[in-house]
Amino acid sequence: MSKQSSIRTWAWVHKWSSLVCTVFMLLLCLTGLPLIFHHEIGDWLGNHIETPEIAYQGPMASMDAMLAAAKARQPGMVPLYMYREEDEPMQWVISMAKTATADSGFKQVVLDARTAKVLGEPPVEEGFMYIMFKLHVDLFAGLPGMLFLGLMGFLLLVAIVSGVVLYAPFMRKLAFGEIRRQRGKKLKRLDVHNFLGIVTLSWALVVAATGVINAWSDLLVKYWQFDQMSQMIAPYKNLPPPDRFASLQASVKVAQQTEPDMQLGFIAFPGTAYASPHHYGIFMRGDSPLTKRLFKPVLIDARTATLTDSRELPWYLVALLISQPLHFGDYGGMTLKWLWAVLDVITIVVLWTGLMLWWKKRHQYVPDIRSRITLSEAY
Amino acid sequence: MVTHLFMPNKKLPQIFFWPMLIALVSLAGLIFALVYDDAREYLANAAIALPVLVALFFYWVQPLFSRR
Repeated sequence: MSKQSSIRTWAWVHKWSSLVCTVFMLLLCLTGLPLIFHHEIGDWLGNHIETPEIAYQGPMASMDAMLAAAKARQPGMVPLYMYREEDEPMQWVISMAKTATADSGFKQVVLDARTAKVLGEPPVEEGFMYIMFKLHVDLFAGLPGMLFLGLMGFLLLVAIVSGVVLYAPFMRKLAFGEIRRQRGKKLKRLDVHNFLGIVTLSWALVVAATGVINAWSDLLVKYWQFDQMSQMIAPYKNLPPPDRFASLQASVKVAQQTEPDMQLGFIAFPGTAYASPHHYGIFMRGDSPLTKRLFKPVLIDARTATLTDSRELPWYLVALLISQPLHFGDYGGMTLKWLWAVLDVITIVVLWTGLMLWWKKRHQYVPDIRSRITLSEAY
Repeated sequence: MVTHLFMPNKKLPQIFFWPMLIALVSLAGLIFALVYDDAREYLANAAIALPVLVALFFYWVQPLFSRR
């Protein structure tokens, strides 16, 4: 293939991969912006529940007491997951629903880890941040929506790679960072598009690639259930669900004895995606900046509070867990959040200038690719 | 007058030297910020901020100098 036709092919790939995904990418960038600050916006909207400052010297409340308090608060609902936020170590949150497999109608009960008192119930599945979250994750369309956005993310990756290839012919006669302001809006727009696109290359590639991985999260968890969980719970295959449940506190103790060098991450209650109908899935984690994001499941028999199995997460779930902070930008404090927001805005500018370059040139005379490159014009 | 038409063509390493350097430094920053929780995290944040600083410099700061 000649150099000219190769460039023409890359230009075609860049144009169409960008055009198809740009509107969705603009939506993802716009909805992602408030999601970067979801904690801060939650505080501002008054959704954050504070831990009261009390003089308390005693031991932490038992897990069973907290579970009982949550069940009393939401009678008729079953617990799904129990976890705590990193910035609120004195709280536990129990999410609940009508059934363990429900995909809507969730409630959250926030409890004081010292006294097992219910501190409140933050709003779930409502409000501005919920709309932003759903638009960003699945367009209110569940798994098909997630996979569709994953496909758009893949097209963005194609657009970025083809954009890098096309950067070279357009920059042969320009200095790095040169923006031709005096030569009309069109060339200025092209230079801004090329310049901002190339300087944010790493960030855009990382956020797009991790977004694609995240879009597969539901399917990866389902595959883990099929691949690993089914092996771990094979002896329970034809048994009826337990008619009584052992102490949650005792189950957590067994998990901690099994993994003494790890900390309790979260608990999946029987019947949920991360456990089985017969088990508490107790997920332990490390304490270094990286390993605190990686979990190790410990399956505890929910009837007898004895260990059933514990094994490392497979590579695809490790990849998913590592990709999450790299997509959310929530792993470096407020400084990183602001950087994420600025880079997000720069990406919006790149998308918008790209869209405008295409829109403005639709009815213009289009010379051959060689002339376009010579003139460093945008196509 | 279109002055750049008379400039010699740059070679690929010349075109991609600064973009690749910025990309590698910011990628290292993204990874280091994930792995370290100490003073090295500040360095990582600075590396992630590099594309923003470069963009600010070439878009706003450099034109001011050129005008003077």
